Amino acid sequence: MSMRVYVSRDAGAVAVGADEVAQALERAAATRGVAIEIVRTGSRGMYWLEPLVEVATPQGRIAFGPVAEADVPSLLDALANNTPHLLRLGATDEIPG
Amino acid sequence: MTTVYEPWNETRGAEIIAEHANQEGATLVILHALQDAFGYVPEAAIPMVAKALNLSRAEVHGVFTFYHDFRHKPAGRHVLKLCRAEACQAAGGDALVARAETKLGVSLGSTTPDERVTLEPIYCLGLCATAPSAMLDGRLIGRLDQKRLDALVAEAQR
Ligand code: FES
Repeated sequence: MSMRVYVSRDAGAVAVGADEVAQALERAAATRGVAIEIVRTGSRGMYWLEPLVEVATPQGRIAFGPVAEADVPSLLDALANNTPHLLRLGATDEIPG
Repeated sequence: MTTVYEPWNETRGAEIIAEHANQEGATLVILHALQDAFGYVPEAAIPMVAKALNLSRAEVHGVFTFYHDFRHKPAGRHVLKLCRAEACQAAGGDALVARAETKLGVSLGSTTPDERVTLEPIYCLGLCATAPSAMLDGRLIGRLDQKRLDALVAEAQR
């Protein structure tokens, strides 16, 4: 099953590197042979957390942010092994916006 | 985003003005069209616009000077705008402005002698949550720091 992640593509997110993060996710996933579906979405208006990467899980979306290009490998590790990550913010819907 | 503009030419200017003169609110439309064509609004065009729209020169001049995006003379090949409004000042924007001025050797509001870069102030890009902010040729940049600024300046100088 492919992993689905959401990365905002609005101006405020792109201004802080959302495009670079989305590309890095794509590349890193390809290197690891992980199937990934990156959905470029609108932002939730929490610009201080952009680039915000949301990962779809059966429990809803889990957010990480602000993610830099360099954080992508460790983020994928944490997702693969289900281990903690410094940028993990929990369920997106529960972040006080 | 390097755009090649035509040199000012009265006949061409008159054509552009005539093309838009019958529109509602033609003044702004014409000023934009002139700037798109020539890279600035040539002073000689102001009385021409006034005549075409049956306005006084002062009225057209007033509109032209009210909007700071209209230029009196051509900009450099790249335009780097640094935000000087409150959130960006609070986040250290002033030091970045000083750094950009030193690196480019010009003060805010001017163009480098080689005409490559115009450095300008801007007042809030709506990116306050990720201040300090900048804009290079229409591209927005947030969370500006020394490193990112240096990269922007280098990009603009290319
Ligand atoms: S004050 Fe600089 S973006 Fe709002």
